[in-house]
Amino acid sequence: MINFLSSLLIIGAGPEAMSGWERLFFLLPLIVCTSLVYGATRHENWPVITVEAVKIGTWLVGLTACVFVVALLLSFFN
Amino acid sequence: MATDDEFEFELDLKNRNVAALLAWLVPGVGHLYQGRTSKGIVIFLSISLLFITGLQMSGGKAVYCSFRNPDLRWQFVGQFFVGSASVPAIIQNRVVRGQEKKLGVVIKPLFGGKFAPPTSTERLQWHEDYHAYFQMGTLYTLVAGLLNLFAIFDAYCGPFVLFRELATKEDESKEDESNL
Repeated sequence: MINFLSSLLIIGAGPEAMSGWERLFFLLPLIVCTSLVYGATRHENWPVITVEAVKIGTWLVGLTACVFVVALLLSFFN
Repeated sequence: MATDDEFEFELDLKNRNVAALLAWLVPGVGHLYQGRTSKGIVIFLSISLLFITGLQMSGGKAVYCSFRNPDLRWQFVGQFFVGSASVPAIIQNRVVRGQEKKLGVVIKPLFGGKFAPPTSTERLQWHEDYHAYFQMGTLYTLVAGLLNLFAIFDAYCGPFVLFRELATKEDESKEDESNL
């Protein structure tokens, strides 16, 4: 838990202070904020907004994972 | 009374133009003006967080306005919708590039150069210093601006699903009238 919190705090220290997988934390604000705002601008009630945000968030994570796999496969041929 | 999926609610958009302007100036404030408090807070926090993360990644250099070759900053069109945070970039562009055109000399930007368009040497230096984070910071701030465009639309017309529903109903009633 402490490790996780310290990893979150390190975002404030900038990309140079982060290494490897810690840089994945930069994905969090992008996915959470995008799905929340997108859901909030499509509906008015929070239960519906939450469901929409989770759907969009899952879709974004899936898309990111696909792009990651494609980039990883391409790196083998480089 | 309007419907949003299985729920029903009352939605008063008040003065739509004022709400849209406020939503552009500060993300979420248009919603606060309309009394949609929780939505306004979520939009404000989300867009601000995304914008600040983008700026932080790129050392505060990802947002600047320049529409002169070779530095055609098309991303600023998206960043502009984040509102008042993009205004210093427009001022800096006017100060630096406007004066350069008139006087033909290099002018020192305001506010210690924050949000100012860089010289070609500075731009190369930024890319060297921040590598991919400069591009990522640009992307994050661009996404923040585009998300605020959705929020401005929401403040002006109401939620998109409801807007579409009302537009369909209006079309149907027009069709009915023409049939009669």
